[in-house]
Amino acid sequence: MNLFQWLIIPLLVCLMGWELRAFIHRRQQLRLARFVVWMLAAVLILYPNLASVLAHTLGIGRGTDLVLYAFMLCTICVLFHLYGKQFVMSRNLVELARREALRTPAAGRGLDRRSVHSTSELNEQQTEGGGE
Amino acid sequence: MNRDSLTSTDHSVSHQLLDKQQAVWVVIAAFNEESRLQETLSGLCTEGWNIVVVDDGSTDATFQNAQQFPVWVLQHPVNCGQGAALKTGINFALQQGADVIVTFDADGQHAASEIPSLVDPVLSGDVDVALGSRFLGVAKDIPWLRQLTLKLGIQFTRLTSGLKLTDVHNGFRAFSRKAAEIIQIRQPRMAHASEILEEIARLQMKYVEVPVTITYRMETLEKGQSSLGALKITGHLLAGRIWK
Repeated sequence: MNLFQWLIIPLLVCLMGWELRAFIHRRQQLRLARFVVWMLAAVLILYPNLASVLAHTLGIGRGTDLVLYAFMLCTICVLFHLYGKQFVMSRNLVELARREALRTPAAGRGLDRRSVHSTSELNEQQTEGGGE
Repeated sequence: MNRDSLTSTDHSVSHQLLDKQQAVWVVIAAFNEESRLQETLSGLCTEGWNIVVVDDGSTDATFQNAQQFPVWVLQHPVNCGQGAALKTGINFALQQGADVIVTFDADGQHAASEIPSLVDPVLSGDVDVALGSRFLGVAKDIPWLRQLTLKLGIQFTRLTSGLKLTDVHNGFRAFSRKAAEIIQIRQPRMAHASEILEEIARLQMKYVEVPVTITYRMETLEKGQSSLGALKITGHLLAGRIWK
């Protein structure tokens, strides 16, 4: 093993252990996927020729190209995952904003406020009605 | 609307019309519309409808200006999008016991005088939803690119939902209470208009298209969505299907 391998392999092994532990405890599939990525990285660093052999088998050419393509695919997957997270978070933010807006309706000038109830008032009425 | 003031100030209004107006709520989503909203509300308030304005996190005086009129004003603390604001307004109207809910643009593109023709088929119970159609009615000064985009959108909607419509993405529509309760508006931004049509098809609701007038002005065109926004809307609809 060369110096680079001595430096990187222990780090990757630690990461693999951390991800595997998290997967076992929390059953998060993403953790398992990350474990596989670290493991593949460790194998390719330990056996550099393996990438070239795989590349030839797939008809890609050089091992570095294979790694580059794999990296691009991983990046797209990560972006897709992050977009999904952002999408869900945005939806949660909308729900929060909606609740706040419904909790504090403002009556414009000349409006009969008594004819309309706020959400909290309606909830209170429903609770009282349910209790009777 | 203020029931007492309406009955005491206008005795010529029939009980039937009064009941009709009290059952109808107009929902307006407004984002940075401080100038145009006043004109829109001035027209609407003379008609006597219940009105709720949802200020979608505006940075100008939209919220304060809306409060100068006899309307209810809700405020999103941050900008969430037109679809989200309409959903908030619809939820509020439902809480107040609305029988019919009309969605109306804040920028003065729609005509308040056309609300009765839109709500009539819903109030009579003939349909669940009445959709305004500018191509059955009048589209004043519509740019050719906008017209082309809308025509493509109509074909896209026919393919995806099966609805044979003459107009899409028209914000002037009326829902029955039942329809407003069960139609799910999850898209917070402009894609909500397509989502509503998909929901109408999915839930097999009865609908009718009503001729309406849309007036295009330079300032509303500059602020409104661009014709290329159609691609963005398609992307949002796709994302909404993946992350439900």
